Amino acid sequence: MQDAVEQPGSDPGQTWMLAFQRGDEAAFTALVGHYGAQVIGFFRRGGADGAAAEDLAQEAFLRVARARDRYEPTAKFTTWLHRILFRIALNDAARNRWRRSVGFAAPRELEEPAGAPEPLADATAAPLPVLTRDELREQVRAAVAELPEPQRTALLLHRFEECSQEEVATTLGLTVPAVKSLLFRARDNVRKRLAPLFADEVDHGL
Amino acid sequence: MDCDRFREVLPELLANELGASDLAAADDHARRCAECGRELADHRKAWQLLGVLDEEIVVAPERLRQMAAQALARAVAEPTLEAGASIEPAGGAAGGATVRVVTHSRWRLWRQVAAAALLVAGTALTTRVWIERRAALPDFLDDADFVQHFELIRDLPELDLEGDLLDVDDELLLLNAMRGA
Repeated sequence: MQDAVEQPGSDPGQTWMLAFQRGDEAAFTALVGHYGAQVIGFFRRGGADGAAAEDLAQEAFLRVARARDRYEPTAKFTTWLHRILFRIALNDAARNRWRRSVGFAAPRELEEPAGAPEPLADATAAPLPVLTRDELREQVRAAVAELPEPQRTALLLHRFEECSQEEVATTLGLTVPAVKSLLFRARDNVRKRLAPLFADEVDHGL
Repeated sequence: MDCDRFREVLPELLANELGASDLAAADDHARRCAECGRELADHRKAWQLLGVLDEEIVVAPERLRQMAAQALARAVAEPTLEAGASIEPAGGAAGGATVRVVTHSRWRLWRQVAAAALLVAGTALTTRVWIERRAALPDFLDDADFVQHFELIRDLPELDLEGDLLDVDDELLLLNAMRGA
């Protein structure tokens, strides 16, 4: 039991899952301990706030636990886990929870309090406000949250989980060309959404 | 390379999958064409901006242990656990590996009764609407002459006598005229 927890091998998730299948509940705890932050991070980046991300992660691990007897180590554990995350993302209730937690606001809306002076006549000449890093993060998170599925999951997996296009294709059940197209559309949508932040005079400190 | 070709290869360019000659041509076009150059630059800025989400997520180990325990408990209780059931850590705030599952069987019964009532009401309503709509079917569909005229019009060429395209409204007008005749 302890071996599974302390020496997980090349694919720790797979090792822990197989140990869990044999009845080792400590292996499941180790698995959640290892992947928990990653799963919460996945939902955070997709737009969920802290509590919603934890709820969704809880749901993901519940599905992992329920799949105990059916699990077969035919692929990388993370590929299997990502499929679960994708299904949760597709689930209506989960998606609503996910999207409800963020809202996209134009940069100027963040800057102007109620009762602010009228904008200049030539609004394009006015410099865009410089956002704090937290504000910027919220803007970017909102842009990602607005993506339709499966664009959002594809982008999150490829950009943040270091999944190759082939791995994304396996996770989403698509062909590699379809994933390429999907990723480009996701990037294009994010670009359009974030375009107001791209003014040359704005330095976001990146 | 022109703008159309640039947009065609843009996905591969962004994915770093473009061959050397196309890459050189695309870079050259992006330098010369302000619009395409800006689009490429915006794509790269957006990709870079996504990096702000690459923050480290720190979760207390205790919270993760609690999450695991709750998932295990719910998975075990699955056959009888309801959506409204709650799971309480048996050891209080300290959590622990064991949890107590609290179910609410009275609510379960009421939900089942309400669902059954809704199902019956929905079926009755749907059936009634269907019957009413069926009864309201236009009688001209039983008219052999009308059907024959309709088939005649359906097979008309798509252009009218003046060479304009016939649209649906034109066909309906013709149909009405023929019915009147």
